[in-house]
Amino acid sequence: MKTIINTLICLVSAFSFAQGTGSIAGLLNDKETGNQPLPFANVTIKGTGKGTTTDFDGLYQIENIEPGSYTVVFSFVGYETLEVPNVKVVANKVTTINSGLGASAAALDEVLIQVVNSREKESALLLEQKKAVEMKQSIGTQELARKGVSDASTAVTKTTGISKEEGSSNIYVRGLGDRYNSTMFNGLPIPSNNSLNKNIDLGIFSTDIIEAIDIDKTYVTRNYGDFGGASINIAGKDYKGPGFFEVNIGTGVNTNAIGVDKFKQQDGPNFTGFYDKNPPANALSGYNFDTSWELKDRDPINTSLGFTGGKSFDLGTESRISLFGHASFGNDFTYKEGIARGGISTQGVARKNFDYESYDYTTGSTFMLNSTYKINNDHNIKYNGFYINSTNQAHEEYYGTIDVFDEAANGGGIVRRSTFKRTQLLVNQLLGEHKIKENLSIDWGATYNSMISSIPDRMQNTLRPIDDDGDLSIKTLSELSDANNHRFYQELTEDEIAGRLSATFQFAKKENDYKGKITAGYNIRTKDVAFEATQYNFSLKTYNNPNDYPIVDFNNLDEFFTQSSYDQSLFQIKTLFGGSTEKPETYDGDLFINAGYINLQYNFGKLILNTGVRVENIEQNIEWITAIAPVGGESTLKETQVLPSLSLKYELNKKQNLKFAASKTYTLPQFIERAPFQYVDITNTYFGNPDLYSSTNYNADLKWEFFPKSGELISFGIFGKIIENPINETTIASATNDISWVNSGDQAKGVGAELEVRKDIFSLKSENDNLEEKLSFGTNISYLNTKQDFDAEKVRKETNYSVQFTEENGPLTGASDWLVNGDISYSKEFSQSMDIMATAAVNYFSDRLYAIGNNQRGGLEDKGFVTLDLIIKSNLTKNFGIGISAKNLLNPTVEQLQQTQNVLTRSFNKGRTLSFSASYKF
Amino acid sequence: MKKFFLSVFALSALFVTSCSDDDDNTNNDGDEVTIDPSDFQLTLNDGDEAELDASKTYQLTGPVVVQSGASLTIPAGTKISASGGTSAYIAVAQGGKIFIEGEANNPVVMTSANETPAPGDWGGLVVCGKAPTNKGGDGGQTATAEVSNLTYGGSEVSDNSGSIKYLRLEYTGAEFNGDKQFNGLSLFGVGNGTTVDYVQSYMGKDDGVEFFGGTVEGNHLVSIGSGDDSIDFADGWNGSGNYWYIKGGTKAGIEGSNNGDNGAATPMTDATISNVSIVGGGSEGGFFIKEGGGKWAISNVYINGYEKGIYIKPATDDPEANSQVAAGEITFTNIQFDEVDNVTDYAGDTSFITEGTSTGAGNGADMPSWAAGWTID
Repeated sequence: MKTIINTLICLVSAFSFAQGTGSIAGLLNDKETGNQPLPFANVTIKGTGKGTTTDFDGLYQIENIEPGSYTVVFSFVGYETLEVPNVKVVANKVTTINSGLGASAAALDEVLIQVVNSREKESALLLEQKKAVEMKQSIGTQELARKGVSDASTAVTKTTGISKEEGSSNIYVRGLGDRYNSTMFNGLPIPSNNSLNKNIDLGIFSTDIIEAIDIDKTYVTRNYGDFGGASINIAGKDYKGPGFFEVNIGTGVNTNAIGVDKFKQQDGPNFTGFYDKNPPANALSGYNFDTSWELKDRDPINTSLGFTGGKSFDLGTESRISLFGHASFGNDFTYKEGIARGGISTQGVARKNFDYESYDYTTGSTFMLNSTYKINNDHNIKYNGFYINSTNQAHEEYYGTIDVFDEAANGGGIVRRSTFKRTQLLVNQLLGEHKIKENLSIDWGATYNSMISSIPDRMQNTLRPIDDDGDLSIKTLSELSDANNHRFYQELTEDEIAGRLSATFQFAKKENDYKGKITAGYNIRTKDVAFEATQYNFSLKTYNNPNDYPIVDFNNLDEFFTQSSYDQSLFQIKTLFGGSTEKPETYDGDLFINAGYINLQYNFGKLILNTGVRVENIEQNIEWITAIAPVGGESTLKETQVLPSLSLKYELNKKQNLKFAASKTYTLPQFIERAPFQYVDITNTYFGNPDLYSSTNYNADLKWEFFPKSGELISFGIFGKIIENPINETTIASATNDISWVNSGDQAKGVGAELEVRKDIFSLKSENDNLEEKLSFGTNISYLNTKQDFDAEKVRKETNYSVQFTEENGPLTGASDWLVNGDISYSKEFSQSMDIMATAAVNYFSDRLYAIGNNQRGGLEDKGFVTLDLIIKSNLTKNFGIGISAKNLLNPTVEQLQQTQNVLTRSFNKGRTLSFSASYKF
Repeated sequence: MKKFFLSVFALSALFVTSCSDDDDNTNNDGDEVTIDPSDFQLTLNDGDEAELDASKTYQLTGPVVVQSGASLTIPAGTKISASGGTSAYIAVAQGGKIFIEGEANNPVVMTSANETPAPGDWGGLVVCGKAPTNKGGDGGQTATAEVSNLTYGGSEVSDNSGSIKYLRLEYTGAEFNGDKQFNGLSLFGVGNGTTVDYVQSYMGKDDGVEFFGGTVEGNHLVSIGSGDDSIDFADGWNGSGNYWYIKGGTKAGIEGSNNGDNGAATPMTDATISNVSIVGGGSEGGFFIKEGGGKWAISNVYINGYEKGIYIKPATDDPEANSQVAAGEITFTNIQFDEVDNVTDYAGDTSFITEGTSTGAGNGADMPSWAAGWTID
């Protein structure tokens, strides 16, 4: 629905006239959707400055026009501009415009000036939703700004049925986690920045570069079939107007972070996040690390700075080049303190029991350049490129019992870990749209993505009391495991080339409209993944007499880790391969997907049918050499999937739709999940399961939508899912409680209901100057009931692994029964250039399972909580705007507990964040 | 590394008949197993039978894995010299067999290749059998060992993984992380059809010998200078030990547990051990009753030089172990404490300990005579 003509057919009835003037009125229809009314289109009278926009039903009226002959211009973003010349206006009469008039070709700046990209607007996205046959849901710039959302990850949680796992990048859609979702940018895939995840952390995408986020919770054939929860597509911002330049600055504080004496950060990583560090040469043959173990301080004041601009250049009558650029930097400080426990036994005893604190400093730098070349009304090509540098510098300290049976058994242990993680993402996209004939169009896109995720110089220390039965404050470095004191370097790169091509042919023309549409498309995706990591362990000297261990000062570890200590053999430096073998652990993977699809849409009048099938051919290879699997190995997965889908839309009336969708999809295991090598994370050891196979998903949705008026929506939907052979991460029976992935049961089922309401409480417009005052609210509530079988017998039969599930069945991990979002907004326009808007937004999720229980131990459950944000924005002049936000005002305690034993495993609060921002538009 | 790489080293090569079937990632290049003593690493598959040459020193540079249906024989006097840290280990999978045929005056020695050897220089010897463990459940379920993704456990009580006699393991215990560390000899679910007799761990970085479930007997075991526990049994080991000599371990002399996740897991550890000398020190006592404990019948023990004789955590930390002691399921008879500060920190009735006079493994604090000729001190 991109390049279309708007025609005017009808007319309207009675109007009143100012003395001696006339009116123009009419109904604007959208040919693309079968002559549905087209709201929010601009209607202007050339040369007069007069204009209006069409209302929700596509109607418009412009009054008080001096009699004469005019050119009327209709425009709508993404649509061609239509000029209707020689419109005669006669005093005291309403002129209606005949659709038989042909369009002239002149582009008009007056019209374009008024055009803001409509997909940024809430009302336009709702309209899009209304028109779509699919059950699509979108959140645009306007709504994100209103709710004070600054990144894509938080953005999706504002939509129905989506929640985010605390402390990770995992998004759950209807209780379905990372593996069930996919992420795209402009309809093209994006690599992941985490070796264990399928999707990139949406948190790295600043809303500055987002026009809208589209969430397809039903499967459509143009999307990749590895789907269960949602296909999330980020539509990048672009610009088509005459030009603008805007500067944004902001500052803020987190109440927890500002309250600490010292905001502890490891030595090395800098303020900007543009930092890298290689291991020293001769890392094993001497103490050659040049970053200090001493912690640095940083002032925990959040800052942000951004520049955004755009300009368009006309090249002749139909041709135009539009540019959009954005550069920004922002950072964020948070501090948490609380308790952390682990290894809770069946008897309820915590093996690890800590008080902990964590300091997090994140940065994000985004650069985007976007250019659209409109060749003529039928062809356009767009280049979209961006680079993101996203970092998180976390420093954690744990105080207490490291192992109740072993290390610091009576307390007094300290584990501290500093991790700087940097993700760089470079995306280059070329996109094109071509109208070959009136009823044949071609749409294509290609992307080259490069992602580097690195962890340079992670530092860890472990200290224990020298005498567990004596003075616990006298400490030494823990020698129990070499890995207890280490430095670590990791790099994951993903290079991806992907393309899409589709042709749409319309047929069965009736009057000015086509009833039928066939789309045939092809997708290709290739991805190379390379991972390498080296850990340098400090293997400490052991002493026969426990009292001989050197006393070490936690706050002055540089005193111990010196060349002199190395020379005295107080420690050796070893890699995970042991001894003097200095080579990284590596794995390399590649993915190749070929997919073709064909889709038919036919309009029977009230009923629109959309059905199609997609065939996907997948090949996935991985090879590895790790310390635990030093001989290396390789694994291949090849599959062909045939995936049908069906969507129906029934128009109950002009304002109400009933939509239905059903599909079959699949869920592919991730690279690392099938590779039988052991991979040591910070706290856990994972190894893949070569017998792991794809799950098959059946999805069905039914939804009623009611659009009372512009910007309003009431919808209610129900859905059901069956996942055959669902994949779950679980602890498997092993000497060291390793984690793997198994098809954990025959079936998982989910049924749910989703309600969404957006309604104006009142909306007043002043008589004279059309200024609006409005109070509105929005809410979405989802109820979910999931159940999956846990079948240890099945796992034993299908794999070499043994598991011991505590329960025979349970909910899906990450699935809350209830998810609620609500917001209330007040806005008032004081003049054309001065306004204020205030929004209060709440979010709630109910208790959800975090990890499946095993060995008669309960599962880990995240307790639900409520967050409340308050956002105020105001435009003070035409150029100058300010914003104030207060987030997490209730500051709830975030808790996780082990069920059955009922032991708290995690507890902290995040603090409140207060921010101020200002923008100036030139 | 796709295929196992075999170099041909004509003079010292050893040819063995084989009928290996087609398994990926192994030596299915032909019917003969070629072993290069200067670069000793291989996988033996079903039907492969290999025997080392006692006149050679084998440079263990990577994993040697004996898969199901294969066997590896190591004759008396063979020396295996390991380098490569965690990569260097010898593992026997379920259904595989190892025959270590050392002699009292001519043991098989597996040691570090380093000029200045140190604990943790290489992995160790890992044997996986089909006897029960409580790690995967109480119905003979399997579990996965620390290395090589090998499976262990099952319900074959009398499973036979071969025979290990007169073996000395030195400087073992290379580690991946705190949880994953090689012991000198790791016995995962090894059945009582297997012989483990006369084995020493010397200067291992982790435990000297550890039983992870299984039913195998371990007799004439010597553990000296262990960086963690000297001898450890866990996860439902149901077996016996006779004549153990332990000296100079860092943590516990003998650590015994039932199951770290569930102290009450079944089948419960059931250990019968007699004739033991434990010479200090070590921070976790002569004995450490841990993680549920299980059932123990320990007799004729000599302990010397420990702060704690029999260590057990309080009931708040280890309720199951404390109730096992209280129920009389854990007993020590004829145990002599010499230079031990505190006999036990068990808070209840200490009648589960019957003190006496004992020569332990045979010679009190000194090396017993049965250890002569094949061990080092």
